[in-house]
Amino acid sequence: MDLNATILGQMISFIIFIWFCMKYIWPKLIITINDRRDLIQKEFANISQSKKDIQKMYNQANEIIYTAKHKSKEIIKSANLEKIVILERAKYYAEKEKKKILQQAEVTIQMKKIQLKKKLTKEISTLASMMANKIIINTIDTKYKKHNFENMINTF
Amino acid sequence: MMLLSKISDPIQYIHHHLRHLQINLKNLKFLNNERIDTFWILNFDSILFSFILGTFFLLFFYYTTKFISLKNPSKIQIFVELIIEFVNNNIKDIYNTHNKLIAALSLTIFIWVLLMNTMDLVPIDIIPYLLYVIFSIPYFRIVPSADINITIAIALVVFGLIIFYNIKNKGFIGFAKELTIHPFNYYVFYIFNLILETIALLSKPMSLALRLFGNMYAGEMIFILIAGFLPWWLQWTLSVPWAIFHILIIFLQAFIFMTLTIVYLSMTSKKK
Repeated sequence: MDLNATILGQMISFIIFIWFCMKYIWPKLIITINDRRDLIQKEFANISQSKKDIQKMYNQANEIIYTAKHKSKEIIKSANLEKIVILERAKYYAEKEKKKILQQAEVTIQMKKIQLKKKLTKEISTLASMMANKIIINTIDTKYKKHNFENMINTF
Repeated sequence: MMLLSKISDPIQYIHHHLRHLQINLKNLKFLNNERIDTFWILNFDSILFSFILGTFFLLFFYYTTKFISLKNPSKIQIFVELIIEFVNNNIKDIYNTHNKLIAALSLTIFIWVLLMNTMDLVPIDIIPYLLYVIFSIPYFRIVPSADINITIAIALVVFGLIIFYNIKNKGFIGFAKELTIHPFNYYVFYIFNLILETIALLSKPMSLALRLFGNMYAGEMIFILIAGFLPWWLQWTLSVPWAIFHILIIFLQAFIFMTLTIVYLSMTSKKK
C-alpha cells in the first residue's frame, strides 16, 4: 500500500463536492420532491373527491332513473286505462253512429222502395194504358177496315 | 513499442496495469518507472478520473435542478428524484433527524463511489492504450476506487465528521468520557477502555476504506488476469460473466459505503 498525497487531493475534492452538493443540489431537489409529493397528494385528494362526487352523481342519476322509470310505469298504466276508456267511448260512439247510419240507411231504403214502387206502378200503369190504347186502336182499325171492306164490296 | 513489448509477458502486463500515473509534487514531474519513497506523490490518474466523475455527477444533478418542473417532470428529473428519494429514505430510516450536511454527504458518496466503481466495467486496455497512442502516457489506471488513497481519503473525511459530530452532540468531555468509561466504568480500566474505544473508532474509517478498496481492487485484478492470461478472442468467456456479476458488487459497495457512513454518523447522536 503506497499511501501518498493523493489522499489530500481526494479529501479536498471530496469536501468541495459535499459543499457544492449541500449548497446547490440537495436543498433544491428535496424541496422539489416535497412540493411534488404535496402536489401529487393534492391531486390524489382531488381524484378521491371527484370519485366521491361521481359516485354521488351516479347515485343521484340512479335515483332519477328509478323515479323516472316509476313515473313512466305509472304514466303507461294511466295511459293504458285512458286507452281503454277512449276505446270504450269510441266503441260506444261508433255503435251509436252505426245505429244512426243503419237507421238512416233503412229510412233511405224504405223511401227508395216507396219511390221505386211508385215509379213501378206508374210505369206499369203507363204500360197498361199503352197496351189498352193499342188494343183499342187495333180493335177500331179492324172494325173500320172490315167496315170499309164491306163498303167497298158493297160499292162494287 | 515499449508498451507492446511489456504487455506480451503476462506478469509484466499485470505489473504494468497495476501502476499509477504519478506526479512528484516536489518537482511536478511525472514519474516514469522509478520508485520514490515520499508522501508527496500524486496518483494523477486516480485523482483525474475521480474529479471528472465527481464533476460529472455534480453538473448532471445541478443541470437537473435548473430545469425542474413540478407538473411536467422530465425523465432525467424523475431519475434524479428517485436517487434522492432512495438516499433520503435511507437517511430517514437510520438517522431520524434531517441534516443537510449528512444528506449531501450520503448522496455524494453514493453517486461518486458508484461512478468510480462503474469505471471497472470499461474494457481495461482501451483508455490506457488510447492515452499511450495519443499522449505517450505509459501508465494509466481508470478505476479510482481501486486505489487505496482514494478510499482512505473518503473514509478520513467521514471519520472527521464522526469526530466533529461526537464533539458537537456530546461535548468534548462527553466524548472523552465515552472513550474512557466504556465498557468498564472503573478508573483502573480507563486506559484499557481508551485503547479499546480508540480501536473501535479507528476501525470505522479503516473498514470503510479497506472494504471498498478490497472489492474494487480484486475486481480489477480479475479483469487484468483474464486479459493477461487469455488470448483476446477467448477473453469474453470469462470477462462477460465477471462483468455481469461485478455490476452487483459495484452497486452494493457504493450502497454499503453510504449506509455505513449514515450509521456511523447516526451513532454520534446516541448516548451509550
